[in-house]
Formats: sequence, structure tokens, C-alpha cells
Amino acid sequence: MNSHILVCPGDINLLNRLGGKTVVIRLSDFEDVTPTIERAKHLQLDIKCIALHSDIPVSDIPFNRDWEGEPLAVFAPDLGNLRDFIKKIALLRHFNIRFYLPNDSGGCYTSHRILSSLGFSVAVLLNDDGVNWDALCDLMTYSLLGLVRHAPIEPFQYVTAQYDRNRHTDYASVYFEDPTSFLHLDGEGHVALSPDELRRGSFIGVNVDEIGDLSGNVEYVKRIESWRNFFLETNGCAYCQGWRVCLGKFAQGRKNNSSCKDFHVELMDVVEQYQTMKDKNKTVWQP
Amino acid sequence: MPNILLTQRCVRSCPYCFANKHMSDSAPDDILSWEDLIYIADFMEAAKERRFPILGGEPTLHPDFNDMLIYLLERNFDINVFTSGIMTNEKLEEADLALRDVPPERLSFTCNLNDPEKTHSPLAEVESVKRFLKVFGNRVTAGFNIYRSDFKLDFIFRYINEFGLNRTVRLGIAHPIPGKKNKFIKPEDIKAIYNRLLSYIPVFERLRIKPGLDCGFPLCLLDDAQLGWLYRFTGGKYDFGCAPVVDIGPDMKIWSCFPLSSFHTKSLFEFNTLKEVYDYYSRIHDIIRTEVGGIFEECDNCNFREEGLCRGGCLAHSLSNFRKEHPLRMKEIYM
Amino acid sequence: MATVILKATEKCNSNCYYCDVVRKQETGTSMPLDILELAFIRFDSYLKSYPEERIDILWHGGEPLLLGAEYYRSAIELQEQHCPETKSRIKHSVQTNLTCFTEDFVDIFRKLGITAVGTSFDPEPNMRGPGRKIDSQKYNKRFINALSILEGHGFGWGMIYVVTKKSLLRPLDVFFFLTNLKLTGGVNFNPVLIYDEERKDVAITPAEYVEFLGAIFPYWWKNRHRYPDIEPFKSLVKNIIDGHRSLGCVDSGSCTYHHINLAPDGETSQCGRSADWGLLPYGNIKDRSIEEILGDGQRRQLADRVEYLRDNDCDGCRFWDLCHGGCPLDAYSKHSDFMYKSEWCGAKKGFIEKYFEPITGAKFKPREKS
Repeated sequence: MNSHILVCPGDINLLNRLGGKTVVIRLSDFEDVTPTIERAKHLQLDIKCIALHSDIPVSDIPFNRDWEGEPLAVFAPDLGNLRDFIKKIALLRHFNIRFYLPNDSGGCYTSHRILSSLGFSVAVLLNDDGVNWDALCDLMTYSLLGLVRHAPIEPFQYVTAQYDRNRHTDYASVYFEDPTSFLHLDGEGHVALSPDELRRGSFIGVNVDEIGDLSGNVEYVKRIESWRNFFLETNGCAYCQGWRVCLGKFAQGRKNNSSCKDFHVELMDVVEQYQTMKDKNKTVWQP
Repeated sequence: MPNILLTQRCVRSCPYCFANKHMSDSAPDDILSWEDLIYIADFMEAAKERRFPILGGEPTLHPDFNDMLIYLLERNFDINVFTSGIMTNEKLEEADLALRDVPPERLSFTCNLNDPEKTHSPLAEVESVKRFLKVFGNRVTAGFNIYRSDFKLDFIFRYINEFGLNRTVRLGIAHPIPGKKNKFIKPEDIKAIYNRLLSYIPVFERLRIKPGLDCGFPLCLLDDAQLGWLYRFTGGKYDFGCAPVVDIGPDMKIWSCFPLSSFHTKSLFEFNTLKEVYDYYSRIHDIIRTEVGGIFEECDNCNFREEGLCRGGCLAHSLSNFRKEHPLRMKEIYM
Repeated sequence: MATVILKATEKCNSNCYYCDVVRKQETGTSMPLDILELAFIRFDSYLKSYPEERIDILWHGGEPLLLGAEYYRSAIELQEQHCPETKSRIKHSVQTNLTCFTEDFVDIFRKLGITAVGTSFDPEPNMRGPGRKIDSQKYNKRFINALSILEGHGFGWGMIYVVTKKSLLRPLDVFFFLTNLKLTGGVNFNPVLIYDEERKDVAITPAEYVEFLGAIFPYWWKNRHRYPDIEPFKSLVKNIIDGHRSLGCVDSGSCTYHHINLAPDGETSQCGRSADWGLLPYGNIKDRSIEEILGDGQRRQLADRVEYLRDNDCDGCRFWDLCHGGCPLDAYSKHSDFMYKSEWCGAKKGFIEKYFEPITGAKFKPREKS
């Protein structure tokens, strides 16, 4: 367990119990950010990032100079007014920040492209329904094969860094959803294996104070091996070429004839192309 | 550098407009998408091009006009917008609010002005232009397209003085669009155009307003006195050129320039770099110039043309003439 | 090097529809420990007589792991006891359906020096599984659970996929499924071998096998870096493009003097099928040494077959070097005589000419006839 990162609320009583751990602190109140960071540092917690969940667009968020340099993951419903956002750019350029946004109302991930082209790291929030796969494919191509340098767009950059043809590449970590790396806590220290399970109150029967080596925890092992269940389905995701970078994340949408397959296959092709190009630019020793 | 068309929609039907026919062919919602704008910006940045000329139709009609400008400015492009100046009050206020803090050297306008008398412009249009000039005057260079020999520049001088515009007038001459019907100045009438233009020399000098000639004006029709005045008054900044400008349409189609907008139209996506684009269209221009040197017979043996001081007027004239002949020339001329 | 296919048991816990092993689930026997002990004694004697030689033992069946972990602990003890000086030249491998694999076998495999297992799988419902109705759901669940244990302990594995009539409906789907199951590759696509009328519904012809492979090959070739170790493609690339001659037993024509099938009762034969069909019996290890069994005169006819085919049925065939007339048991199954080429030769030739050479642009160049 020592290697797991704990995704937890900023509750002071909970944080007091997590001394020395690596944490992602979930906050939704902007006023809490500065005091929570101070508190966490005082408790010698290793802050992986502050996950700030906002109900308002990015352009309206009252970013604070005190947050400069702190790793921030900002989840927002949309970018908001571009002009208002650009007024904040001078400040935001000093931030260690990634924006997590769903698709725009226009359906073309425009905000992600704008942010990336302006030098801000951004992640696409994907839900099972309503993903515009063609537009996502365009965005992916832009991200990995664009004409000029721009900030990373996740999960594409993650896949590029982690992709190995002969292994699974699970980009759930971008969203703190990989149970082999992240555990999710509620205010009382109950442990769940994903944000969704946390929301449903589906805990793995241990308390944060009791977690030791999880390799013996039946529910944990069942969960991390659950990807194998796809191979028990007839005509399921295991038959898909894109499996090794998707791992059935969009199984529900697939039943509704989603184009997730085309996207993930294209992703593999582009990542392999990108890696090949990068290899050609290897730096060779100089005499 | 290429011109980028945000939209092909326009607010008026200018009698000289090269784009007149083009406008009517376009779909009403033909506007440049954000994705394509970013692509173009990346394309330009890759070419280390920092200037970003914006055209239309009427570019301010684009629903994201202000946002796109702010975005491009943030990406360190310097922008010049070619506009009629005609827009609603709301649009003008919005643009003023969004753009007033941008330094003039980063954002400028070229306002294509029509003579209100000659074009019978509605009063509302004229007033709209004036409102625009009042707000953005210090960023604006007046533009005027010559399409009739009895043109007048008086109103432009008034605007320059009244609204504090840049003390330069960009003068264009209407060229034919091969295969289409539009009002243009015939080569044999250009001398009269020069004479009429330079009859304003006393006004230019008194008001210290410099005339700038757009592409397609031939050198040979200026006598030495006229040429001498132009060079001395403007500090020698004249180029009697005709070369690919490259316009990028909202649908990412590209062409050499607006008179040649139906000729060798390609997609920007067919090219990897801006240099490739210019090389392509330069080659096309060279092929046509090989067939015929310029708008006059004398151009073929002209020393000025050989030495690169003049390109022989607008290519569109030659192409228009070729259409009247049997197709015996190089195949590239007929595409 | 001698390869001993050690049929530890004829019993099997699965009723795979196309299994070509003679069904002995009811009456099948398992190798008693005294026979196993004798086998190790014979191996030791052979290896001492031939200090350069090695023995590869392939534990086979039926389903060899049905014998339980204790049996294999005994095998390890017997090897320790009877081959103390020669055990370093004894290599173990296993072909299993994995449904009996548990944590108990982890240590055993390690002690036997097994680092990877051979297995087989079919995603098609009701093709592999226990019982009359062939409960593939139950079977697959056990298989997947076993993989979890196997991979969790760092073991490798390779699988055979048997191409049947049902496979022909969606070759690429099958390919993607299997390569997703085994991302590092190690998948062999073998044609089903059916000898009876009642299961003709899943039999395929050589031409159909060619089309199955041909449906996959273009995709594989384009993305071969993503899908390593897929047979028969990898071997063909090695032999035809890289020029390295490396053939399996079926194609090498050299199984003659190297293979022994050791049945539970100690009887030996050339291979599993020859034992099932009562062909090429080489005697019992109770009576004969490994040297005698490997030198049995009946093997001569297999060597003669290779020479005969080269000058007759296969004379002038461009692909002789890759095939050598194929498996003699395939020939026997069709002609009741070894002295014919295998009908599956046509499949290899057809695939290479119709798909491999045009798609890769390579042309197979046979070596000079010696």
C-alpha cells in the first residue's frame, strides 16, 4: 500500500492520519486551496496534486497567486469566456497546472485545442456516452503530430510515454482511476478503488489506517484482475484491435455501436509512428 | 504572407469587388472553424511568420471575431484586418472593449472605403463606417479600390483628417477574374488612372498623405516625373509586383490571390509547409509569364521586367485573354 | 537431442470437440510411479552413454496436471534420485489446458525448470469444455483464473489455436482476441485434424486453412511489430525472408531419429498419433533402452520416405526445403501409407504463393538440390 497514492478530501482529521503519504487532495472550494496546501505541508504529506473540482468555468475561477508552483488539477465544466481566460494567462503561466475538461457544446474539443496551443496542459474528460470519436481522433492527431510544439493533451501524452506494444497501456492513471496506483478515501478514511466506487459507497472493507499490503485483499485483487473478465464474453471488447490501450473502458458505449474501436486503433498507430519518429531523433554521443 | 479569410459572407456588394461572384457561391454559414484557425496559426508559426492578415468577405461578421483576434494576439501574431468598417453598434462596442488595450503595432485595420456618392451607399452604411473610424481611427489605414476612371479620393482625405487615420492610402486597382464577369480597369485605361491619381499630388503633399500602390500596377505607364515624385515622396518604397499572395479560405481552400481565386485552387492540407505553398504558386506564375510577359505586348521585351523592377501588371489579364483563344498553350494555364 | 513426449495420463477433464487424441476418458490410464521411475533410469543411462546429448521431456496427455501436484513432486524426487549427474541435461516442458493449474504447481514448475507452458484455447463457445454439452463457460473461467496465477508468478506461456470451420467466419476477430489475450505473442494457428465422420462439421480443407491465414496475414504483415511470434507467419519470415532454415517437426523431415512417445504403460512409439493408431511401436522401456528405442529399424521407413518424396511426389517442388513432404502421420491418415506427401503441403504452398510472396514482395529461393 505504501506505493499507492491516496485521493482524499481536504478534511483536517483525515489528513492528520495520513502522515508521510503521497496524496491527491480533492477540493471544491477555492478558499480552501491555500490553507489546505499549508496544512498538508505542515503534516509532511507528499502532495501529488490538488484536484480542484469547480462548478464554474475556468475563466471565472479566482486563481490565487499563492497557488503558484503547486501541482494543480482543475476539473471544470468548460473553459468559459476566452477573453476573460486570456486576462488570467499572465498569472497562469507561473502555475503548475493541468485543466480537465469535458467536450465542448460544439462537440469538437475546441477548448482543449485552444488551451494546448496556448501552452497549457489539458486532459479530456471522457464519459462512456457522448464521446465524439471522430473529433477526439482529430484532437489526438493534433496532440501527437501537430506542426508546432504545444502543451500536452491527455490521455494521449500519457499513452505515448507508457505505450509498449506488448503490454497493456491503461491511461486511467491520468484521471486517478488506476487502482494499482490510486486509492480513494472518503472523509472517514474508508477506502474505495475508484471515484465511481467511492460515490457509490463501495469500499474494499479496509480503513486507511489498516491498509497494508493489498495483494492479499480479495476485493482489490479481484478488481485489478477484472480486465480478464472481458475474455469471458462472447463478442466483447476482447475482440477489438484497440483493446490493449482501452481495456474495455467504453464497453457500455460499444454496445450502442460507438466508434471507440476506430479511435483506439488510430491512437496505437499514431503513437507507434510518434515513437518511431522520436527514435530517429535520438542524440548520438559526440567525440 | 498569406491572407486568412475568416468568412466569405459580406455586408455589401461592391461593384468592383473581386469577391463578388465568390461570395454568391459560398454557403451562408461558411466560416473558419477554431480547429482550422489553430491549424493555420500552427502552419504560420512553423514558417516563423508572425504577421496574420485577416480578410473576408467581411471578417467582423465571424461570430468569434474578437475571440479569434485575442487568441492570435496571445500567440504573438501581429494582425491586420481588412474590413469595410460596417458593423452593428453592439459589434463595434464589443470589439472596442475587447481590443482597445492592444498596442496599434500589434493590431491594425485596413478599411476598404467606398465613395458614398459614386456607390450610392445607404446612409446607414456610411454612418456605420464613420463610427468604426471614430473608435479605431488610430489603427486604420484607408484602402480604396479603383474600378472606374472618374474616381475621387476627396472623401478619403476627409476621413483621414477627421478620424486621425494613418496618413497612407492603400490603392488597389480592380483586376479581371478569368472566366467571370466583373468590373475592372482595362490595361489601356491604366495611364488615365495614373494621371487622375497623380493629379492629387498637391493634396497628397499638403496633407502629407502617402499613396501606396497595391499589386498589378505597371511601371512603364508612369513618366519619369510621376515616378520620381512617387519615389521621392514615399521614400522609394514601391514594388510594381505581381506575385502569389496566397489566400486561405474558411474551408481551407487556397489560391494565389483573389483575381485568381478559381485558378489552381488547392487545399492547405495538401502542403506540409508555407514554403511549399509559395513554391507551388510561384511556379504557376512563372509558367504563365513564360507564355506572355505581361499585360502589354511590349512586356515581353521590357528591360524593367527582365531586371525585376516590374512584373508586367496583373496576371489575371493574361489568363482572361487566354480563355478567348484556342487552348494551345501549356496545360497549367487552363486549370 | 531426443524429445520424449511423456504421456503422463490419458485422462482429460475436457471434452474438446475436435480433439484428435483417441478418447480415453473412461478407460484412460495414468503412468504409475514405477514406470516413471524406470523412465528416469533409462534417461540417465542414455545421457551417461552420450555425454553430448540432451533430453527434452514434454509432459503431455490427456491433461497432465490432472495427476495432481503430489505426482510431480514425486517426479522431481525420482529425477533427483536417478539422474543426479545428468539432470542438468534434462529439460522439462508441459502442454496443458491449465484448468487444473493452481498455486501448488508454481513451485513444482520452478523446480522442474519450467519457465513457460504450452497451452491451447478457443474463444468459440462450446468447443472446449467438460461434459457432454462442452461447458466452455466453466472451462474458460478456470483457464482465465489459471492465467492470472501463471502470469502473476512470472511464467510465460504460448498457445495453439486450432482452426476449425467456425473460425472461418471471422478470422480477424479470432486473431485480435488471441493476441489481446497474449500481448507478447506466442500463438500458433494450426489446422484441425478430423478423422471421423461425426465431427466433419468442424473439419476444414487445406484451401480453407489457406484462406483463414490469408484473411489475417495482410493485417499482421502491416503491423507485425505489434504482433510478434505468430505462427506460421514468423517461421515463414525467418525461412523465406531472413534465409534461416528453422522448421518444426512436421516440416523438418528430421523427426525420424529424435522423437519418442512414452505412453503410461511404458510402451513407446514415434509420436502421440502413431501410438493412438498402433503404428511404429518401438517397444516398452521395461525391455529396451532409450538408445535402442531411438535406433529402432522401423524408423528407417520415415527416413526413406523423405528420400523417396524428394525424388518422386515432391520432385521439382519449390517448397521442398520448407516442407519435406509434411508429417508422415498426415499422409498415413489419408492413404494408410507413409510414402505419400501430406495433403497439408498444399496449404503451405497455397498460402505462400497466394498471400505471403505477393504481400511481402519476397520470393522463396530453395537451396541447391544436393
